[in-house]
Amino acid sequence: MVSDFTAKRIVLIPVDGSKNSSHAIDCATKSLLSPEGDLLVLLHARAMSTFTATLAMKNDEFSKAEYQRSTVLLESLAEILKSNGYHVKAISTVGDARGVIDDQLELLQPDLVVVASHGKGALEKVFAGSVSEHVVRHSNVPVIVIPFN
Amino acid sequence: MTSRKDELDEKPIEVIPLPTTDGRLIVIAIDHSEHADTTIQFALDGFINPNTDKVMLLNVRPSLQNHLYLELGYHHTPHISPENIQKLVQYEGKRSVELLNKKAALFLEKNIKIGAYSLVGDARYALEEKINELHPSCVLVGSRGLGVIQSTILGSVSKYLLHHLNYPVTLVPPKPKSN
Repeated sequence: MVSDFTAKRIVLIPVDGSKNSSHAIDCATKSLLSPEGDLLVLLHARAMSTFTATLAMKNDEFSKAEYQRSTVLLESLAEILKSNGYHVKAISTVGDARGVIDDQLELLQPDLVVVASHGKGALEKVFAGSVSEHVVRHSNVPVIVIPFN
Repeated sequence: MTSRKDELDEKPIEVIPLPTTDGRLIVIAIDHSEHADTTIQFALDGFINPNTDKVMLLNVRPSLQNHLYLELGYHHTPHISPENIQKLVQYEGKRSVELLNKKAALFLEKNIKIGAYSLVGDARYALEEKINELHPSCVLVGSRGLGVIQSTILGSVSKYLLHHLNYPVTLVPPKPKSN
């Protein structure tokens, strides 16, 4: 993407495709971030092959399906953000969300991270935002945690 | 958790009235630690829009009960004369008000609209209650050490606010110590 845009802040936004995740992005971009100076980096950690998936389909079919899903998710989020004037980059990578986020924190050196307090799935409810808590504990930069109300 | 605010006149003090202008309200919870300065610096360095935002600084001073238990280890209120109790209460009040005024000055010198409140009691509940009244756009806290109990990873007050508030919470980590 060629532009004259110089980001004042790089904002890392892990996404997982859940309603809470899109709500968090919505909330953050409406009142906490600004299109003038922020470069948003969307990050999606897609699943590694699971045991049940290998029973149902071949490994590479699963990977392809996941990659497709990830691309569609990121592109649709990016479209909405760009229509609101934001500069956006997107990263799709394989692995556990926490590890992936740790890696990108080191590589990107963002100025800010935005996470939803809760993601998706029944497990997430039990551990109550395990990804967001992980990010808060391990980040060296400020983390905005958006509630799921 | 019963509030002992009614005893001993330990009431919240409005140190600086919050301007009633429109604009995004950002709450910043501070204590006497250096870490609070890091949080304030983050706010001033670009999170706050000086033209449109207003800031509410909050500090929670321990109630007499908190103070006696945590600082002195008393499980039951020892026999302390009313004069000394008054001195203790006034000392905490003065210390909190001074902190708030000192930090508020950093915002005032940049012409940022600001208010400040000194609250009393358990930091978790006092902050939760006040923040719910204020309906801010966002709450800024240091990720560690806010409040009298110091937790090594995520401060107990920050953690409480993270789990109980229905507002965006920005956790500011401490500055890494330079070697």
